[in-house]
Amino acid sequence: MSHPVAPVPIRTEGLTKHYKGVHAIEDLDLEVQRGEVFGFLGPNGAGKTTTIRALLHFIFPTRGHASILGLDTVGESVEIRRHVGYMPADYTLYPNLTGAETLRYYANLRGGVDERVVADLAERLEADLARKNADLSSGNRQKVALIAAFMNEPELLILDEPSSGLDPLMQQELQAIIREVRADGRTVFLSSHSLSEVERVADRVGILREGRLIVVERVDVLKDKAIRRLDLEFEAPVSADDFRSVPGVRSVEVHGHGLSVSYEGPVNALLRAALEHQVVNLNSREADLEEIFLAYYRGAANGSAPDAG
Amino acid sequence: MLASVFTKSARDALLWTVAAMAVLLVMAGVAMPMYAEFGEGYLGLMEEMPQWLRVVYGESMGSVAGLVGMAMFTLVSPLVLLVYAIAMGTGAAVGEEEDGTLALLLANPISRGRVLLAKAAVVFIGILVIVVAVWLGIGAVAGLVGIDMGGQDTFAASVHLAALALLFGALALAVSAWTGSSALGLGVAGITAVLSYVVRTWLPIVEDLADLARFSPWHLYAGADALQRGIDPLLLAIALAAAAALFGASFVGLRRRDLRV
Repeated sequence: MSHPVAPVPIRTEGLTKHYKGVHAIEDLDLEVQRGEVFGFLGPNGAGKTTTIRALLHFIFPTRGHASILGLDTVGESVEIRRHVGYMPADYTLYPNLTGAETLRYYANLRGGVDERVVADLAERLEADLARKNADLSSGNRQKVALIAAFMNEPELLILDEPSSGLDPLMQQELQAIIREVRADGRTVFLSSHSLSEVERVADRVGILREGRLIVVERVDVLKDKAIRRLDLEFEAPVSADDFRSVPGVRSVEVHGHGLSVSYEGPVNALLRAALEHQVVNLNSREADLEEIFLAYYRGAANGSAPDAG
Repeated sequence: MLASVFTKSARDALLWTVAAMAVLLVMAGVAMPMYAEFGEGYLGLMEEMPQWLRVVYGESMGSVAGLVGMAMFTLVSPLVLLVYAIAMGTGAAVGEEEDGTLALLLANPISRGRVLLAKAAVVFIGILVIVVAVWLGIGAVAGLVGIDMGGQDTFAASVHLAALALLFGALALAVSAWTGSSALGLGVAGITAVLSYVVRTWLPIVEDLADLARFSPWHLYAGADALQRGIDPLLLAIALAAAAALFGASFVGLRRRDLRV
């Protein structure tokens, strides 16, 4: 298919799905841009997988509309899946096939894929494709499903909890592959309940809560809003009161010669206060999106979500 | 063998198809030599059967060939074929959905209707293969043990048998496709088959109820009495038309519901 203007990879307008009285997703307006990694975040049960199932036309929306690469998700689903790689959160591989046979089957249904891409992915993910799927660990099954999603070099990847079951080294490799896909100008829609998984690769994140999208924001902006932590060790015990009044400081904990401070905004004032004493050691912890995530959650629950900017 | 959904499904169905075929051929291979050996004695016993049993088993047993036809086509073959058709029909509609393999299958550019068509085609062909094997098997065993099947139209009976299996296979397919539940597909089709057999077979014992038995789906098979009278075009057409309608309905059902993947 050729398009005069490159179509938006994912667009939903008022997408809504109710099941037997349960509002799984409600008025979802979402736009994912070409060439970005979009993190789709929310706890289990927030509606992430329901959204993906609607995008792939496994389920019918109750209301609203969605398009992928400019194609209607209900009417042009088969054409959409030609250009999309999908890794479900919940799936079973044919137990009596090997990984290689499974991938060959899916490749045949796609009219063939580049064998070198499969071999390269298998090597990078250290996938054992010669064994029967029934004999594979969950992590190794995950690798087969990941290769199936990436092997046709799709314009859009929809990955639902892709890291679950992978060991940390393989998670890093997967992140590297996702970054390469983005560098290639392709798009990744990455659904996860884990912020740490998403923040390493995503450009923007959308946070879903009880079926509603409560914020869409750039990851770096969210990080700026984050509450950070500093652990300091002093030559002599210090008083917590010396730090409580420092601008930006949220909480202070003193334990012997040590001090743990959480703060937001610039760190200058806090450092000046610390340098009044003899500092032995200093340890900064990376901004944790989990904190923002919870802040948004609490805010939305109280009806006062922070300004999404 | 993994070129398409059809070839993969055919490969997956091979074991059950061969098993159903083997059961029926073994039945023929064991029962028919016994009838050849002791058939005349059986017939003597049958002469003394009460009238109601004659109604149930039919009047066609005046010869050893009639005994063979009755043994193979009254219950054993329909039973095995319907178990096959109902189980495979249900599996074609919701097997991969319930197994959890459908999510990755439908990640590929293939519509759910195409998947159903490929899988239903495998069941269709499986039924035909089994019926043809049984028909040829009966003829071969009869030749080997010296039974003259001349008076029995086993071909016509086999055609009606295939239509019966297609009908109940399509019922299982349709119920499963609409509901997404293998339990419902197996249950509805299985219970319908048993009830329709019981109604068609036992109601005629009571003279006043005999006419009602014609409304049982089983009548489309048993009412033809194809072994004696050959193919009944009307009953065969009704059975095939009903199977085709249920087959069509299964597509409508599958295409309009939410999948559990």
